[in-house]
Amino acid sequence: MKERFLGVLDYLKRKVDYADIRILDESTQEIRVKNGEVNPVHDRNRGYGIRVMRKGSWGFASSCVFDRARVQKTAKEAMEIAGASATLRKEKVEMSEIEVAVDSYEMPSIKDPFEVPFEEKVSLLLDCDRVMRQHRDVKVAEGWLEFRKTKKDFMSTEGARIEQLIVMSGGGISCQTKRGGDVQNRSFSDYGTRGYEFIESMNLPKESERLREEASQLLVAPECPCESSTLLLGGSQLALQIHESCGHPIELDRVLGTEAGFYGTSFLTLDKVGKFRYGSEHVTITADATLAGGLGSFAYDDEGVRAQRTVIVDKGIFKGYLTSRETTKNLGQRSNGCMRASSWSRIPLIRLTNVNLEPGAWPLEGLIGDTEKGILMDTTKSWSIDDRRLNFQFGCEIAWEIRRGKLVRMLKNPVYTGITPQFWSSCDAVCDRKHWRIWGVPHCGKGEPEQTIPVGHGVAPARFRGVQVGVKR
Amino acid sequence: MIGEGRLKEVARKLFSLRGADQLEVVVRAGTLSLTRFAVNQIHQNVTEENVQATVRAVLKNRIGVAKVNAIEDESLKWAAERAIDAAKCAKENRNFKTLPAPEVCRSVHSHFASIRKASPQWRAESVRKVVDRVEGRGLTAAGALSVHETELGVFNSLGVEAYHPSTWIRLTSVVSSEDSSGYSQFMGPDLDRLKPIDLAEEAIAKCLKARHPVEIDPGRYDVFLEEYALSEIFAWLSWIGMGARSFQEGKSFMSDRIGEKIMDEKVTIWDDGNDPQTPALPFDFEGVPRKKVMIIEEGIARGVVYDTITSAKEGKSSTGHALPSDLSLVGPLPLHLHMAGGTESKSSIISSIEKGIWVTRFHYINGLLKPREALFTGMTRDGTFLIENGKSTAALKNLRFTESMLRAFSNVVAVSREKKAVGTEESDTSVVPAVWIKDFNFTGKTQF
Repeated sequence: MKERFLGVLDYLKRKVDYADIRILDESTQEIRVKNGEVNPVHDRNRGYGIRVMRKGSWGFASSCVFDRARVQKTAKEAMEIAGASATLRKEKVEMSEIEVAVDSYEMPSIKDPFEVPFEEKVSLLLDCDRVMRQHRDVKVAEGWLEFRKTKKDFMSTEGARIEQLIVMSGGGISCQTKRGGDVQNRSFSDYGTRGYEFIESMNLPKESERLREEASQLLVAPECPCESSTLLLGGSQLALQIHESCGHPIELDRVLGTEAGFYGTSFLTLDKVGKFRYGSEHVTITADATLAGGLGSFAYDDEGVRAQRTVIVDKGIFKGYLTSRETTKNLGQRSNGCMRASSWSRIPLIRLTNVNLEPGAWPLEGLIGDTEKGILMDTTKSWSIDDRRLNFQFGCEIAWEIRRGKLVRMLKNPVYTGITPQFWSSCDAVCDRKHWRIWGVPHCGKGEPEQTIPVGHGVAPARFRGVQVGVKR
Repeated sequence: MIGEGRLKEVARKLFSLRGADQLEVVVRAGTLSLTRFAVNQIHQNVTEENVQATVRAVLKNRIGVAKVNAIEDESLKWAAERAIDAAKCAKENRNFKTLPAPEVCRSVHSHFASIRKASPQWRAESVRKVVDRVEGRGLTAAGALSVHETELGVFNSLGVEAYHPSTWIRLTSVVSSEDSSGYSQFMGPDLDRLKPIDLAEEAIAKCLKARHPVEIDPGRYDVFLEEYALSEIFAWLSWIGMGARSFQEGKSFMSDRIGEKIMDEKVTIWDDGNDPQTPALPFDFEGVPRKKVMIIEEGIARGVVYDTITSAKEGKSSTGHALPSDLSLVGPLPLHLHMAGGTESKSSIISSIEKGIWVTRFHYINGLLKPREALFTGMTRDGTFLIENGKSTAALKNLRFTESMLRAFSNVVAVSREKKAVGTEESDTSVVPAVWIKDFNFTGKTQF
């Protein structure tokens, strides 16, 4: 069948400035269990997308029908669309150079999740469900597993021929308690580009016990106060903090205005590169699509650019963006390989890969011990940020008050808020590599039609001074 | 378009397969074309042709689901076999009794032949009308024009054969200056009703009015929420509390409060999937006819929406609000909310406000802070203004609110008689008025 697409590519080579074709074959297994109710879902999804640049403008057409005539029709639709785009295009699209790749890549995994018996996966979730519902305060227990195998073929008129096979595994558990009018929740989830061994390493039944107890204790915990405080963020919450306040504002297409009609723009304008103080000297942020097991890892992006590691913030100074071939041409740079599409039916956009806070030198126990008075928060509950990514407010599931270097009591309904560069400038400590972990965020949203894509964030817990916690009501 | 006849034929063939007590297949097929523009030019222009078949297999009261994006025999057989295998592994679901039996659905006209005009050239020309107007005023336009042509068929082995074709057009525009922005939106099933120039003018006027914004301290203010802003709140109210799952799990703001007054008497909210102002769909993803459901009546909590599983748990009938079966644990949701209008015009309401804040729309609302209180947070966007003595006196820099929607909707002073259909691509649409709410809690500010 690949010959069919190569034939179309030969045709397009004669007609357009540039074209590429992505053919995807995805298999997904998702199992959810809620209070003993099991919802198992298999999914098979195949299709292709043809992107052409003609008269300096983009056109994209996609289809799930693979017969020769339909493939040819789809290519012609893409050309017609590009022609229409050109009628309202002031600057012709140009792309920076790349090393054209001919390659085949299979992401390493130890245990193929699709070979693990379905019954075993259901049984694991039912075990977690049983453990969480052992406490009378627990009203809703939920667990889920998700596995995806993506086979992607990429070919371009420049001669690229790339095959990739990427396996994703992930899952989580959630435990809701209720007493009177108070409802509390504790959850734990993670995802990675790994096999079933990733699920086994999560030890979900053991985590179920912890969440059950914490969710019950939250019902009798005092409310998080409303004050300016020293704030420690655990890894899973820091992953969300980086995602929203660093990951999205460094997308160069957003900076150039192409998301202005929907998700917004960015405060990190072009004039800030190389001189803007984004954070304190403890803050070094990288984007790294080469990290083993990271949910935002791959071998090549959806323009055929090899996966890379890029420094975004170096010791607090803003250094650069996530980029594409189109956005780097006018800057005299090369793409750092961040163009990703959520499916065959979507055009690639600049997306987060694994955007990470590099580790510092502190052991977590030492950091807590060094904190005279503060609050440690973890696990995202609510998230909101303005359309230039400055003012944020995040809520967490759980917090602990710190007094004289010790966690003294649990707090419920914690919330903190700030302005992005002020917040990161208040960072005075980051924990060491021993505490550094890549958290998988499976549903990052962007674009129209909306595209949700898996990304990763490597982080270790960190400390911030003078942060507003709680909300005046 | 595949057509009703062909889809019925495919479904009937599937039901001849052995191995399940009951089978259901939901087919959603169609095309989506979308032209995106920014910085006064088209930067993204796409079309997609897809078909999605979702097969649900029932073995006594065990359920399995499989999806495949094809409808030829081999693919559907694969899906049916996977669904049956999955059902064998599932635990018995005590709340599941049976797939629905056939019922007569209303016929709603929501497929318009005008869709044939929606070529790439037509889309580009429509966008050009917006851009030309905006550029002529020295401003910048961004947005998207999307065109959907969809057919949905729900079939089961008990004889349900529901089919509905539809069209849907949506144009959004954000118009920006150096220090301000404005917004407008159209959506509807008939592209002949799209007026790009009118939409451009609406967003331009708002953008110009929002120039030179000043900062205001957060605090409690009276607020005038335009329809765009209210619709975004409604999407979250639907998600966190108006479906039977969250209601039965006790975390909804409606849980344990049916019959109680939870909002001001000027607030009446219902769901009606047969109203063509929203993407009408006369049946749900189980093929059950969508009923009009009163959710809040003159401030009193009346009820939530149900599918077959959640209704069986309470000994009720489904209201026809099931989501696709792969999302059954999310539960039923109202996707076509309406709020009753009042008697005053928007301009009359504004003229009565002594001091307040006028919000065009919100950005990034989140309603998960305390779902029982419907405690939400979010930012203002694309036009925020100070109202003094009944007049808009200054543009404001954007603000963050953190407020219980139960409290806010208990503080409604006036509701406009004008209403607007507002929404995202194909779901979360609502038909709402503008409202004046007193003592709305703004808790933070940003730099623009």
